[in-house]
Amino acid sequence: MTFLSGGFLLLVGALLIIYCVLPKRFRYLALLGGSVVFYALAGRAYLPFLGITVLTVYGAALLLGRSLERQKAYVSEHKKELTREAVAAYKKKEGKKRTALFLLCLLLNLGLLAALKYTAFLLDAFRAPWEVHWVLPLGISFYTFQSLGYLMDVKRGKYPPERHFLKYALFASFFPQMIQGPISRYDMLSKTLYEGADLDIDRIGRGLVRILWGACKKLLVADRLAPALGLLFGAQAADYRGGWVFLGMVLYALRLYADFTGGIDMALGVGELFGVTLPENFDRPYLSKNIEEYWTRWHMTMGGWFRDYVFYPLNVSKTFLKWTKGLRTKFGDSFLSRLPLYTATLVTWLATGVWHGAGWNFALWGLTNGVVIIASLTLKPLYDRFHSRFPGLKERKGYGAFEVLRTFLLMCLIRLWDCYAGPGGVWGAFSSLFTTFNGGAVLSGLSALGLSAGDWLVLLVMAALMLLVSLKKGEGSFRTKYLADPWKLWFAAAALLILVLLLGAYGPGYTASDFIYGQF
Amino acid sequence: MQKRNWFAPIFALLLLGLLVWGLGRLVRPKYASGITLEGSMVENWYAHRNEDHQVLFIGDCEVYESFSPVTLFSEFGATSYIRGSAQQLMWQSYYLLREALKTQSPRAVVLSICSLRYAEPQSEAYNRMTLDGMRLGREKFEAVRASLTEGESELSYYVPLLRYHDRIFELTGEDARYMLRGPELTYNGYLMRTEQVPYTRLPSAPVLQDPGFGEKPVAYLDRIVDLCREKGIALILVKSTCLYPAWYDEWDDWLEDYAERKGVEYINAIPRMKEMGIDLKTDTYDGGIHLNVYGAEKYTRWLGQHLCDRGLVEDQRQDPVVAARYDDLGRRYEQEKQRRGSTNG
Repeated sequence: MTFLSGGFLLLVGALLIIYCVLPKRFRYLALLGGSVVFYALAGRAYLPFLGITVLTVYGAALLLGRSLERQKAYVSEHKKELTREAVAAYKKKEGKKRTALFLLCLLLNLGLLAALKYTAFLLDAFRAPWEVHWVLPLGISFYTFQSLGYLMDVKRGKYPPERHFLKYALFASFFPQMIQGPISRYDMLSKTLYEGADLDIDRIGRGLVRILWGACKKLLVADRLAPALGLLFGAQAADYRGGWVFLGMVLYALRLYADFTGGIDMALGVGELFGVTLPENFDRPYLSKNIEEYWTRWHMTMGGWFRDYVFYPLNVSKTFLKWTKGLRTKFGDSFLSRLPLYTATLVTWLATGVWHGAGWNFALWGLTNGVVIIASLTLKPLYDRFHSRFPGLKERKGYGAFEVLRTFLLMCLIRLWDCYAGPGGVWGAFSSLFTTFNGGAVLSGLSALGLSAGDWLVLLVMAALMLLVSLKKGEGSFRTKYLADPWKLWFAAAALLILVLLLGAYGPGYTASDFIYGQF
Repeated sequence: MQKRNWFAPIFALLLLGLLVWGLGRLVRPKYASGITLEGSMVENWYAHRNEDHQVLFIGDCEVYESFSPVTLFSEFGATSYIRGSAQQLMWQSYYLLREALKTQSPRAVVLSICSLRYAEPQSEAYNRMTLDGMRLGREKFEAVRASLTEGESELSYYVPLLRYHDRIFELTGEDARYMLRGPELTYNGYLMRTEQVPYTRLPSAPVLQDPGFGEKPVAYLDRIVDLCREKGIALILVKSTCLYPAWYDEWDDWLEDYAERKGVEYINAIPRMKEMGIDLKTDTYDGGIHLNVYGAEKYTRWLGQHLCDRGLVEDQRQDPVVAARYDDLGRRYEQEKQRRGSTNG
């Protein structure tokens, strides 16, 4: 079930009516019921897996919270009679118990995720004589990570655990984020998830506009491009080299952006219908000026998760701190003393790659990102020296545009791992960019991609519109800035729906494409 | 303030409805030129639904290319209309008849039984040519339900924009011209063909696997029989002169038996062609598959006489209103016949 299926639209419509009819304090139950129905419709076989994660994380978090409370109570009760060392020893002992419990729950859930997602790949990779065809529950990577993030926060004492089981179950399974995220944090999501929003027609309008804008991106751009990209990167990919690779990677960037941000817009829009604020996942990423900035603006909730729950814990772990200290003593402030930082970066990016999917390409994609980030960190002094020589350069608009374009193309190149099968395919495509770039042949052969003049027109206009919205919205929300008036808001909704119905790539003649990030 | 908030969405919704309807009308195929002209015929009916028709012809190409209402009136004074469309399946015929009987009280219904051979819906293209032109209502809803082929979207029959939106870059002047009212290319449902392509030889018929007809078309034939009986209408089942792809003796026997059991008339025109004066050298436009206008007029004369003999039609040529209507139609018909005839020659 996707955002654009009739079943989903019916479910949301029915749920919205039920939500508005129910007394405020029961409205979260409507969302939970809707989430269960959504998940059951997506695949009844998925439900037990979601159930295991919900139950184990809820239970473990409750125990961790109780342990922390008990520890706090014990320390404050025996404050006078205990020495500092005794308190530390007690905390250490309790901490170990919590860590054991935490690791048990972590391993169980990550093990489940790994088993379902990677077993078939590993058996194939190591040429095992068996084959497995296990179900891969919808959104398992998203809900597992969201749940484990919550568990880690509770363990760290960032906030107390949610004691109400149904409320916790809703946090873990809230249906709009099950298809492709975002990965929410409990302390942020719980602010609006349980409160039962009032019926506000303008808020519903804003939600609809966001859903329809997402549908425009998905149906007018992403799905329109899917067959052409299937041709460029499919079985006949070797026939499309040089300029075709360049065109393919630019079109893929456009498709990925439209597909993923479109899906997120729809998820956030559905949340908004119910007054639930889901975290933003994108902040105009293609306007980034370097790769580090890019990764703080693209799939922000995933990047934040890996930063807070993998990179930081690793980088500030006792082992890494000790290693850093040792290297600093030996090599001073040189490149070598930063080895622990680079290792943490590479491990984080490898994990990010593997999270995206079971395949060597994903791992290599992650590592490439890590290597490029390390390279940019290492070369930073050189870069700074260059700019100290040309002090006004950074402020110039032309230079800014160059940086944006450079970062965009760099990310396009890294994404070649997404597009081609295996390192051989990627290398062949990459090298052809410099050896057989025949732009004329691409221009004259554009019709071979199966896109009509009308299709190209829609793509160009939509790309321009997406850019315009990005530039106009600035730091805030486009809807808040330009569609505050209800008349403008509702006419925008009607116009967007007409655009989707009239120009969307759907129905006979098109292949329904699932959301790219849905597979993760 | 609250009042204003509700005004905007309601107004936007109305505008949206209007746009979806208007754009749907714009992008749907008009079938105004080219080789598939049959797609506009079902819609044409609504302009004639309040005129009195003594005879209603219902069915596929075996009625809309075989009977000429102009000839039936000029020779016998009988008014008639053909509710026909390409490969019109039995259940579609049933719903089109049921819809027509809401405004009509004909004395006779002439039903083509050729489509009994189709036990299931055949293709979306043919479905569209029959169902797209139907007005929204219970009949359309049930006809769509009965006709859907695998993978078709039911909703798109009621919201054509969903099906035809990708024609937006293929629109021509015809789409704008016929946006609100489709082209009227027929003469009370008769699609005129004037070409003369003599019958030489048709491919041999495949061996009949099952001598009966499918459950579904027979059930709908039963419903048509019941409907006509309930309304006191004489039902005549016809197999027209088309020789292709095949009409088996087993099917003929089945229909003879069925007609006898149900107390309706069954006419197989194939063995009566000589009696009708039909010459397959001059009276078909596609080598013996369908009749051209010359063949259709002969067949209509024969059937008209038969209807007169049975007392099912009344001469209305003296009725000034009806006569005026048919004068106009007849003039248009004759002009087109002359024009096309001279072009062919």
